[in-house]
Amino acid sequence: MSTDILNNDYKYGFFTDIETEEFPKGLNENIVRMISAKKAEPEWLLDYRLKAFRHWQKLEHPKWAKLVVPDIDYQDLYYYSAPKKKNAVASLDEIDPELLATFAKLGIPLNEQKRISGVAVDAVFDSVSVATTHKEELEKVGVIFCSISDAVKERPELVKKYLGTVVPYSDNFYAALNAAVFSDGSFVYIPKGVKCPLDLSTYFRINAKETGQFERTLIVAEEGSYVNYLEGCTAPQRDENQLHAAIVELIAHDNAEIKYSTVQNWYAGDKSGIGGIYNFVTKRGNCVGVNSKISWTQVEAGSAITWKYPSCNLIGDHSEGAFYSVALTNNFMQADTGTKMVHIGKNTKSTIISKGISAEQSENNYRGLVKIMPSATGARNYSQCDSMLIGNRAQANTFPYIDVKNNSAVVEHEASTSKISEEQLFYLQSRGLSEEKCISMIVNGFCKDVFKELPLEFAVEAVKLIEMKLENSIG
Amino acid sequence: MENIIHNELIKNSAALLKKPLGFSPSYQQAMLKAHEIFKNLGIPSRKNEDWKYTSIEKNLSIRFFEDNVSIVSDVPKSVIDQRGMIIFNNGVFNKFLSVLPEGLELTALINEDIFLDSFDALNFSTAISPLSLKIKKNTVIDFPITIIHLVDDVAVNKIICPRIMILAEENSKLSIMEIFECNKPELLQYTTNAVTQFSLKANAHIEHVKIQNEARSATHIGLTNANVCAGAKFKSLTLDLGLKMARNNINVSLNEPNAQTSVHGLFALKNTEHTDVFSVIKHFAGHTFSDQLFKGILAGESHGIFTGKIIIVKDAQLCTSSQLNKNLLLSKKAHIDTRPQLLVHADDVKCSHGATIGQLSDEEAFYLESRGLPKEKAKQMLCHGFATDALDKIENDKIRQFCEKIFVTHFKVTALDQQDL
Repeated sequence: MSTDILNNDYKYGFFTDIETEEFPKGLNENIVRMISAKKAEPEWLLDYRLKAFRHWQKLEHPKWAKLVVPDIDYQDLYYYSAPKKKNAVASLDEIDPELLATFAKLGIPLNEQKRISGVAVDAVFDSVSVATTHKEELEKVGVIFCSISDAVKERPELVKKYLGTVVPYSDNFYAALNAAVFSDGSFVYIPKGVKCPLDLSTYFRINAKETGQFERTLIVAEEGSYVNYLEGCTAPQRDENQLHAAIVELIAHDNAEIKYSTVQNWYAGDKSGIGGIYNFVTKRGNCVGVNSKISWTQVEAGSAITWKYPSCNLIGDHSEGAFYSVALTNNFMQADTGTKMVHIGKNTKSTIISKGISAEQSENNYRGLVKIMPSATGARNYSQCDSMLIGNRAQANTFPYIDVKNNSAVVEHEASTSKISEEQLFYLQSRGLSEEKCISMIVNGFCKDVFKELPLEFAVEAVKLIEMKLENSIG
Repeated sequence: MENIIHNELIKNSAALLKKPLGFSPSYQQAMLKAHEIFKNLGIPSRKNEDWKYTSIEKNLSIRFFEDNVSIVSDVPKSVIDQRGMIIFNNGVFNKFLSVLPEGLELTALINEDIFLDSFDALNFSTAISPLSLKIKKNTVIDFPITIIHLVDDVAVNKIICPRIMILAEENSKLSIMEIFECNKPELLQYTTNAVTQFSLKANAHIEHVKIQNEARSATHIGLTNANVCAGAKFKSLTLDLGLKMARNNINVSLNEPNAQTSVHGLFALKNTEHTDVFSVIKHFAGHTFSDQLFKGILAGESHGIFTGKIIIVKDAQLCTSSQLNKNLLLSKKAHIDTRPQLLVHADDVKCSHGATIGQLSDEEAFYLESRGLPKEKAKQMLCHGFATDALDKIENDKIRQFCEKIFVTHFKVTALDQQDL
């Protein structure tokens, strides 16, 4: 069987024409100062940015991933762009109707009336948060859910306490870049003992031309709290490559649980591999407290290049980390993604389930590290990495690193690579299903372990997304 | 530091090249070329991803063993069958003791110009008695051939460089046990840089068991490199009994359809011993098969590393490949790094790999204790059971029995007392 999957044209490929306010191209201390001034940031944050920027200047683009990354001219990018604002936004009527229409096209329930869906959205349009819904309901229980710039203004003590504690600016090239120029992002604080009444959600959109987007998300879950955070991404079709270097930091205290789910469907370039988003993301969670839990679930279906390793540092005793991932690549996409689980506390536990699907000339790599420190007595890890190849030009590679320094640890790793089995395909076809439908069913079954970890509405979206990507398959 | 060692090695190997060792002019040219390659490549540092866990340079001796006369006159005890044995003393071929059955022929090594890494090149430029063993067409030998590398006092603080090429012609069949030994295992310090190469023609069937039982404070760098043609089968097992620093490179290329390989191994480490196994299996043709089981037992403060790369190139369809790496950590300070890697560029293949790390199960130990065995004995039995899994893969009975014996003796004396019982 030679299954050739043709790319489905990017569904969300449109461009909203909104006047944006931009700084000049390029990156220097001045730009960093301008960004900070624009946001009226306190002195300590400017210092942090400058320190990060000075460190970034010393760094080189990392080369260890199995990716072919074209040279990026960091001086040829805009580092700040915001939709023109009319003072503060008091009600939805004041928001640019065109912007609202964009969100409507994406199906974001921004309108208060649409809140039946039960999702609070902090929509990030390019770099500045425009409106936040459900704020009141969340305020009632003491949950803070706002843009990080607002958090800096309103709760500077919290931001100062946690910012950069999980991903220090010196962590890697992109983390330093982000720390220097991060424009906006979300801040979530769940107070002690609170189970967040809503699933929190942010839609990211990269919009203005040639704008690198540098999101920064910080989620803090206090003792005994729980939050489910959803992140979904779409971007308009564009020929120039766009850079996205985000940082997500999660902190879970004693008995707290954070679930972080992502559906990523950014523009992956056209059929000949031109254009597409470069997605260089640093995501990490610290399970600081006893019995704390952090789980990452991701469906990666877009971006020309993905470089992303959502990780967990299991510091508290009995803490748990989990990573569930589906990565689909087609055309000329490249993905180097996986996770790091660092076991530090006693009886810590981690689970890794990774499913990679590569079609056409794409390259899909799993790269993971499981590290058991000498202090992690009784640590347990289970990893499973399966790859599926569709077409004979695709590549699937797995690079697991297992590093164990404690003899009481039990670590298991399994991986397999295969193609869609002829028998399964034949069985389904003999039941009257079209080949395309069969492939999509088999792929969905292959990814089931991950999809079931997603919240319902996201699971539906994810299944649709994979189906959409596999449309027009030729058997 | 690494530059100092590298420069010393360049200087000393250049001096060795100037000595009259009786090679043909063209071979000497090839040696000079290899010398240049080593000069350019340098000694791999930990910045090199393939050497991430092993800093080799500080554990190398810098002088080469230059004497090409052998003095040992007794047949070493480890020889399994005296009808077939090839004996090297300190990297030098001992032609008085070596015996070969009919169908096998020893010749001088032919020129080579492609090297897998800098140590391969260094070995070629400094091997005093490089040999080529030809197994003639249709030769089937039912007893094992022993290749012994024996090191004694004269090689202290020297590098010894044995190099042997085994060429198996069509339809030949042979089992080879290659053992690295030292007459004073507790005392001597030296470096072995050994290369053993195989070329299997159509339908040849070779089994190679490598036993590394060097002196405890020696450094061993070994390369096993095999090229396998259509229908041929290369079976390999590496038994590493632990020493200060060991690096075993195993490289198998399956070049034609229906080529098969199984690359197995076992290491048992203790104290501060360090073993780094780096295996690469390349499926260059469709319908090729590979199977791998690597086991590690780690006690004391030892450090074991396993890297297993399986590469399936584009259009090598219908390959089957499986790999399993299992490790047993016996003490709190033992440390294992494992990197099972799959690089697949063809869609119609079946590949799997697995890795586990764990300790002896309390239930199993309890079961044996409840049958009246003392705790130590029970744990020892379980460790042997763990190891037997790998040793059972050896096809030749005599070699397997020999390996079991040497493993049991070794394991009893040394490793078990360092467990946290």
